[in-house]
Amino acid sequence: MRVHWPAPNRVFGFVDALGITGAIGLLVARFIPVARLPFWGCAIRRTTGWPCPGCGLTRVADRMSHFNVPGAWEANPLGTVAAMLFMVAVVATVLHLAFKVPMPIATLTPREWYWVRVTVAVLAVVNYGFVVVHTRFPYLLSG
Amino acid sequence: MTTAAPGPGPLNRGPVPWEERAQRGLFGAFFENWKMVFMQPEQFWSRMRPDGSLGDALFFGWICYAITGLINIPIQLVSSALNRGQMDEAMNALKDLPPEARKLAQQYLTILLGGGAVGAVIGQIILYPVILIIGSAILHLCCLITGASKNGFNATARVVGYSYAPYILGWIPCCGGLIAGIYTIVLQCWGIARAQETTTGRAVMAVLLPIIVLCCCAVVAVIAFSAMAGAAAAGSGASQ
Repeated sequence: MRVHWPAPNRVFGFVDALGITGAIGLLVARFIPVARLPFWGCAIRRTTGWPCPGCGLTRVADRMSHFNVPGAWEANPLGTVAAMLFMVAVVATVLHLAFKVPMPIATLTPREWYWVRVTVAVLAVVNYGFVVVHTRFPYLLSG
Repeated sequence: MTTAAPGPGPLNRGPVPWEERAQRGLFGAFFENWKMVFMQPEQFWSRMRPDGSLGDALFFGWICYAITGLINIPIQLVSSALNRGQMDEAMNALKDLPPEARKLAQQYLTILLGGGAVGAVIGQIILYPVILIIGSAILHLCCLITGASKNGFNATARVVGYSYAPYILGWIPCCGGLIAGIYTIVLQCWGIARAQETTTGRAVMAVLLPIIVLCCCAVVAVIAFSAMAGAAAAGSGASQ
């Protein structure tokens, strides 16, 4: 992996886009009770009792926007990590666009990209396992 | 104008008509650009520079959406007046909901019935650049997943901006939105393949990944719901 630090700039990039997305998402979660909207919620969980891989993400956004990290971790650990990365992106975007702080550009080889994808896929599977155990078999975690 | 042979030929990069507004004039450049995206997508995407101005592309997409939005305002007002009876029936059908949910749904329907529809359209037009940026971020994440991100976020965002050209037809009642939506997806697949210099398969996977995930969730939910309903019906039949 090669990391390159460009000169100070305000060129709009991917991290800025993620920062704006994260800022809007966290502001919505902070001020709008999304989970209380009619028909909101996971249809799979409602009908079968089994969670889907994305179950808990609304609670993650809600709790992370109130800085309740342990509560968010309990709802969906990978979602919590993603929300934290979004928060970092928000701060980085402000620094980049307001103060011209340069964003590092990381270049990965195809082999490194392959392992990044494999790692993310494995983490997603492990995370889903945690969500299933937490929802269906909570006694396994408490014991 | 640069010409290119149909099919995945050589990439003749250069400014697209919209980026030559100073020479062509605002309306001429917009019309030429729209025509090229809509009618000659292979030439357009082969010509579009991945490292060109992000603002130009997002501005073009914004104008396309704004035109449709403004045309839609009178159509929405007429259709909401025509659908008032159905809305009243929907209000009556909300009796079974919990009080809090009913209040929220009633507020939503009231907004839909009145000038709120116009306000919502104007709000969408104002916020559309942000929506374009969020859409670009999601699409670029999918490009990273499928390995179609050679030329970076700028190329993806430019494809998203220019691919909104069909939305000018979105105001056509009944089928306009559907046709515009489908053709936008086609243009995005095409544009990602050319702008990111990747295979069509990877580009299609990147564009369709969010749709596939949503469809899988919906299919699983429908199957689960059907199975539960079937089991419930069988249970009630056995108990009689």
